[in-house]
Amino acid sequence: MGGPAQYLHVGFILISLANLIVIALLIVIFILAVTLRRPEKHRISTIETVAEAVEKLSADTAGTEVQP
Amino acid sequence: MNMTTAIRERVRTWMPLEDLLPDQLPAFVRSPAYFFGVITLSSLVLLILSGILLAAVGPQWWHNSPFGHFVNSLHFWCAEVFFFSLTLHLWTEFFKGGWRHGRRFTWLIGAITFIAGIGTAFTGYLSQTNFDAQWIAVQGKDALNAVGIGAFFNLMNFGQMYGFHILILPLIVVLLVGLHLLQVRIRGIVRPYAPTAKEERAREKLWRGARRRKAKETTATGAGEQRPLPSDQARYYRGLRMMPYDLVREGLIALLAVFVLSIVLAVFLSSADEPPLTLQQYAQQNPVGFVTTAMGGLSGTGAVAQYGPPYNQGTGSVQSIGPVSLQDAAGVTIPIDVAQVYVLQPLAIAAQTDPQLAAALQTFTQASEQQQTAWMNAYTDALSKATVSNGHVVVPQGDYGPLPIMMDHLLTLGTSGALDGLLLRSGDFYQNDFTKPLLFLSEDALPTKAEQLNMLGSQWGMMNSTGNYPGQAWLWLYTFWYQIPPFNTSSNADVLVWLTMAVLTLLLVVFPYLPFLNRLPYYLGVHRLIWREYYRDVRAEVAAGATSAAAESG
Repeated sequence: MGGPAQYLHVGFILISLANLIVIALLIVIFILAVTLRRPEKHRISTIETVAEAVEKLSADTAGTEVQP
Repeated sequence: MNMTTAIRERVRTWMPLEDLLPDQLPAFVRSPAYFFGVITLSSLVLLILSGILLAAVGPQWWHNSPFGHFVNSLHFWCAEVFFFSLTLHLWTEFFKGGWRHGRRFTWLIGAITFIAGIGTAFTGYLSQTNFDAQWIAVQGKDALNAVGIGAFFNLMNFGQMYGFHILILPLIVVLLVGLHLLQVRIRGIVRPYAPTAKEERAREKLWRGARRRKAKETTATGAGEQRPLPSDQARYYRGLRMMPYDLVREGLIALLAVFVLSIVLAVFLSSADEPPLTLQQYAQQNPVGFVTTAMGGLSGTGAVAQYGPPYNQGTGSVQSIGPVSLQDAAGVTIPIDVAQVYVLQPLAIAAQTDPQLAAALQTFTQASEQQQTAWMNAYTDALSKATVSNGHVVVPQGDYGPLPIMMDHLLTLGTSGALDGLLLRSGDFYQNDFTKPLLFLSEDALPTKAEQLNMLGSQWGMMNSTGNYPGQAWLWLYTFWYQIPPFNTSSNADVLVWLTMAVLTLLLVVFPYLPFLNRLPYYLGVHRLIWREYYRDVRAEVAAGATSAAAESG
């Protein structure tokens, strides 16, 4: 790592290999982060069922809410 | 009014522990897109801990001791992880529209933290006391001087930069991160975008400013205390399935993961620590270059002599936009009489024990200005044909007056290392301002070495590091402008780039407040990928509702 730096020169872009790896990793991990999910044994819903929502709504009379 | 009671009730109302440390979160947070905030926070904790250790023992330790260098490497890699995860946090929050439903201030604080973090890292690079620090200081000074900031924030003043790096900026970052976290916990995690733009607008209208509206309602109706926040989040999350969540456990796991990763990187990859360049090395390795630089200072033709504010009244490096020059407006705050500082004063000290030099110096100073100029011009021209013999600069025969003797003694001061000390003198005992020696080296020695290392401005230098280490990659956009027209051909490039970056930075900070533009993430659609299970469940519920309705009506 302490030796002569490796650079990539394309047109007006002159970038060190180390910085290029960092930027490439950023993009790769971003893509993975938005596409992957945490492993789970049983897939659970992200929303309550309509019945549950109605039940909860009746228990809470305060305010209004826009349903998702 | 009892102020203590008022504050206690306000804290109890607005910051209940159930919100600050919830044990349930909406089920849609299962995406890794929610990890980056806690990773950033973990790396900040480790940055502070390793930084405290480095500050406690001092610069010589991290250069000369293997363990000190290891801690320095750990600090370096923690900084890389910090910016890496901070960038991903910024990206993911952008695509999630994290500022919606009353969270604009949370984004604003986060964006300012990002900028303060860049400043902290930048002053960290300046505090390394190695070649990177030298080069970044002399290259960065032009940009700061061009906008007048350099008059008060001197990148070559190690004492000032070190103070900013280890106290002022970290304190600001920690306070901002604390405020950001508090905002996140009080308001909760933003809901996914509604399935349609119309629904999303309705939801935004309902929740933006809901806090103020509710407060007014409760006050007007005398309904008691302001709305307690747990019910806020309960209402806000209504319709969403909650799942058990252990924030503290997640934080500890992230802390351990970042710690292990940074240790692995520090052990196997270490960190850059190219030794700083000294005047002694410069004089020994390039005597002609050293004397040429000194002559530029003596004759007033060198770049530093003609620089302008904040060092002198020159105009050589003064930048402006139209008639406005912030550099001129800031004035000369770090006055440097180049001929005196670099040549005449050091020689006057050496002349106290050297009669030959004293006589030469007297001859020069007592000569007419016209005679001095003639000698200096002739000697400077002769330096282009100079050779080096036994460590002395030899020029062709000519009428140079006492200059050959003077410059030979100055070169001796340089090669002996005495000039390194003499340029740090300021009349005080303690020295931590390296402006004078760095400016001298900035004329030739540092750029020559930096060019070999691809660190010039035209080589995206500000984001590069010595060796094969990643540098300040987060400065890519700043360095980008210097590579393209009109910036790369303008004599006012620094001030133009600063202006451009100031506008872009302001846009980043206030993005949530920009009408129409702040809806951009919705139309980009990346959120549909992040929350795809949520939208799938909503569609399934709608379909189930429609089927049920059809069955009932049938």
